[in-house]
Amino acid sequence: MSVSRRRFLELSAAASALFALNEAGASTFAGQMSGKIDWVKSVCRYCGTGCGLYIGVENGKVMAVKGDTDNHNKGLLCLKGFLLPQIMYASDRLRYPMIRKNGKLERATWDEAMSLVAARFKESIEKYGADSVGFYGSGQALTEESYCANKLFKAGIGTNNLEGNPRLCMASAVAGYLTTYGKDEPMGCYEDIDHADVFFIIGSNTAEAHPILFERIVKRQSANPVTKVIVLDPRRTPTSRIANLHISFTPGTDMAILNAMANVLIHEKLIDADFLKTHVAFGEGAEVNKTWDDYKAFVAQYTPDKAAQISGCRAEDIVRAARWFGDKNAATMSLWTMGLNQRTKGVWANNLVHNLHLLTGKIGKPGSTPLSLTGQPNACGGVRDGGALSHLLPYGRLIANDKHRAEVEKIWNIPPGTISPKPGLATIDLFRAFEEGKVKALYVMCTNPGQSLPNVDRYRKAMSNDDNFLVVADSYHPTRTTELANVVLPAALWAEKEGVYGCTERRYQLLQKAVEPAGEARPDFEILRDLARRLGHGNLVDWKSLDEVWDELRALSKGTAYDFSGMTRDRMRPAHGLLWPMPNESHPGTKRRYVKGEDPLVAPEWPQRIQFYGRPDNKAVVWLRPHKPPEEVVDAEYNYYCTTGRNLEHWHTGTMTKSCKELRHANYESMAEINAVDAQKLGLKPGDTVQIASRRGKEKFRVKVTEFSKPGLIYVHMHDPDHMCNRVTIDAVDSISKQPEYKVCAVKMEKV
Amino acid sequence: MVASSKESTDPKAATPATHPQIDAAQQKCGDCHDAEAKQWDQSRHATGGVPCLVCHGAVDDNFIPKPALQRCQGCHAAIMEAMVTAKPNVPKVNVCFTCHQPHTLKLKRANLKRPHPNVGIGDTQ
Repeated sequence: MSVSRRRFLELSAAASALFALNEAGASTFAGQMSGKIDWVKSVCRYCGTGCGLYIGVENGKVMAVKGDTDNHNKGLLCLKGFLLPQIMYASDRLRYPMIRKNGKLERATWDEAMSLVAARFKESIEKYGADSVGFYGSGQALTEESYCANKLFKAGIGTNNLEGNPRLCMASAVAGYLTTYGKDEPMGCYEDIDHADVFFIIGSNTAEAHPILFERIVKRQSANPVTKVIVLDPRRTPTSRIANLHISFTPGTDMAILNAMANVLIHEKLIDADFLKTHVAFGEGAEVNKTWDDYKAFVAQYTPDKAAQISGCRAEDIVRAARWFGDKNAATMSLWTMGLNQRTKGVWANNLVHNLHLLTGKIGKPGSTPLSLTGQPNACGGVRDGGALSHLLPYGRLIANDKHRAEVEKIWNIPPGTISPKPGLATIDLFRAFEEGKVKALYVMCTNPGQSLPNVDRYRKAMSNDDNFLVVADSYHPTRTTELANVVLPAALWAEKEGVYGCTERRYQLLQKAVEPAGEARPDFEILRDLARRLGHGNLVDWKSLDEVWDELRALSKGTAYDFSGMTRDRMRPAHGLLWPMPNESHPGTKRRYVKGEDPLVAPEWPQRIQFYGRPDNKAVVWLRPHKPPEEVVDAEYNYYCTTGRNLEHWHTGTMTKSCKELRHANYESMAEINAVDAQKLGLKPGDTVQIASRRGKEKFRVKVTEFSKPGLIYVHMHDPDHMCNRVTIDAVDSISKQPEYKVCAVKMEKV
Repeated sequence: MVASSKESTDPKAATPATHPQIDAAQQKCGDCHDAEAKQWDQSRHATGGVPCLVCHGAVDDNFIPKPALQRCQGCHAAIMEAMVTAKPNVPKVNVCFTCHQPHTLKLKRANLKRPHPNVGIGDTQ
C-alpha cells in the first residue's frame, strides 16, 4: 500500500469515525487514530440490492465503511449505507437479556432468559402440541440463522409454523415466478441494466428504495440516450424524474393497464410468434388449459380506452408504453417491487408483467428480463431459497410433497416421517392464531411485527396478551415489538457475526465477522442452538463450524434448480458475490437462467435458445388474469385511498436508521402526504395535524402538501414508530401468496 | 428534503448555518437556496436522486454548510481512493472540487475529461 493511500484511508476512517462515535457519545476519535485500519469484506445491511462493502475496524470498533469496487456496486454506496457505522453504537443497542416481571422488562442473565424460553415452549408443546408454538423470522437474518430455525422447528419441535417477514414483501413475486416459470427467483441479473433500452418500472420507487440500482439505470440512460424509462406508479415519485413516460393511475387498477398493453402488443404485431409457439403455454386459474386464441380473446376485452377508464390514466399513454415495451429493436427490462407484490391480487399482477415479456420474447437476452427487486438483504437467500416459510423446505421443496420431505429428512439424518406433511400457518394466519390462543408461544427473530404487520393494533393486542408468550431476539430495545415481549434477547448485529446473504439477482455473498458483539449480545445462530439444546434437539444443530452448516446447505441444493453446490465457503471468502446455479467448483456462476450456454441446468443438446425447465413441458405460462379491484375501494365515507411506502433516508421500521443522528432529522416523521387539491378542499395547511382513519384503526399525522401525491391519494411511509401507518392498513391477503395488501386501503381524513 | 427551484420568500441571510428552526419535513432547501437548487438540478446527483441531505447532512446541528472529503467519500470511496493514489500532489481535502463544480458536478475546465483512474460507477460526466 502506498503512503498516500494509507494516509487517505486514515483520513477517511477518521472522518467516518466522527459520525459513528458522536452518536455513541464517545469523544472524537480523530486524534486517537493510530492509522491502523483493518478492512473486512462484507455486504450492506439494508436493502436487497446487496452492495459489497468493506468495514473499517480499529481497536475492535467499526469506524468506517467503503464500497467494494470489485462488487456489482463498483464501490458506490448510498446514504444509508455509508452511515452504517452509526448503527453499531446506538444508545438503544440491546446489550443484555431481559425478562418481563410484574409488567416490566428487567435485566436477566442468559441462563435465566433461555431457561424461561425453553420452559414456556416445552410447556406449550407438551400441553397443546407442537403446533401451539411458532417462529417468525426475517429476510434480514443470515442464511445460517434462518436455516437453524427452520431445522429446529420443522425437524425438532415438529411444527411447520415457521414464517418470516418476506411473506409481507416478496411472497407474490415468488408465486409469480413459480406460476409462470415453475421455479422461484429471477432469471436475469443486474448486468441486464447495462444492456436495456427500455425500463418498465412498475410499483417501485427505485430511486429511493434501491438507489444504487437506480444509479445504474441513470448511468445506462446517460450512456444510451435512446433509452426509454416508463414508470407506472400512482405517485409521482423521485423515480419518475428520469421517466420518459410516467403513468399515474388509481391505486389497484394497474392490472387493467397491463392487460391493455398486451392487447396493444398483439394488435400492433409486436409479439414474437416463434417464441410463443416454442416456449409458451396458456392458462387460467391454476390450470394450464388455454390456447393462444383463448388468450387473444381474453385481452381483446382490455382496450386501451377501457383500461384508461378503469385506471384513470390516458389511453394514449398505455399505447405508447406498449409500443416502447414491444419495440422489436429494443431490449426491455421490467423492475418492480412492493407496488405489485403487496396486493390481494399480487401474484396475478406479477403474472401480467411476465406475460408482456413472454409475448414479446424479451427474456433471457442481455437487457431483456423481468427482474423483481427485493426489499431485504437476505429475503431471497435465507428465506425464499432456504425454504424458511411455513409451506416450504430448502431449495424449492414443498412441505406438502412426500418426496421432498423424504429428501430433506435423509440429509437431516432424521427418521422418515419426522417432518409434518401439513403446511404451517402463513404470517397473518400465524398472528391470528396467536390472537385466538391457538398459538401460545411465539419466537420473533430480527424483525419488528409490532410495527410492520398490517392492521397492526389487532396483532399488538395478541402480542401483549398475558396468556401468550412472546420472545423477541433483536439488536435494539425498545422497538414496537420488544416493548410487548415477555423475554427480549440481545442479538449480535451485522458486523458482529459471520454468515451469508443472498440478494435479488441470485447473488450469494459472505459477510465476515468484523467486531465482537455489543455487551452480552450473541449471534441469532447461537441463540437458536442454545434453545435447540434446551429443548432436547441439540443433535440437529451440532455443527462444528459455520463452514459445516454451509456444506449441509450446499448438499441440500445439489440437484435442485438452486444448485450452488460448487459455491464452497473457501470460494466465497475472496469472492465478491457469486450467482447460482453453480453446480460444481469450477463453474463460474450463472448470469441468466434458462439460457443455453449460460445456465448449466440447460442441457447442451437442448435444441432451442431457452429452456424453461421449471415446468414439465419446458414452457412458461401466459396467464389469463382479469383485472380485479383491491379488497377495499373508496366510498362516500372512506373517500381517500391510502398507500404506504419507503423513503431514501430510512429503512423498514427505522430501528437502525433512526440511530443515525442526521437521518433522524431527515424524513423520519411519517407525514400524511397529500395533493394541494385535497389540502385546499379540506382547508389544510402544511404542518396541520390530521387523523387518518380506516375501518380498522386510526393514526394522527402532520400534513405534507406535495406534488408526489395525486388528488384522492394519501401516502404515508412505514418507518416511523410513533406515527404508524399500519394502524390503518388492511390485513386482507392474496389468496395464493398470502401477502397482505399494504398498498391500497380506503380511509377518511379529518383535521384535528 | 429535496431541492426545489421554488422562488425564495425568506432571505437566506436570516438563516443560521445550523438551521435549527427549519422544519425539514415541510420546507425544501431550494425554498431559500434557489441558485444552488437550480445548479443541483443540472447534476447527476439530481437525476440519480441524491438530495441535498446526502452531502450537507440534515438540518439542526448535523448541517454541514461546506461538505468536506468525508461526504464524497461516503458514496464514492473507491473513486476518491484511486484519485488520491493517482494524484498525490492534489490536496486531499480538495480532491473532488479541484475539478468538479460543487452543485452541478460539472468539470471546471473542459479539458478535464475522464480523469478517474480505475473506477466504475460515477465516472461518467
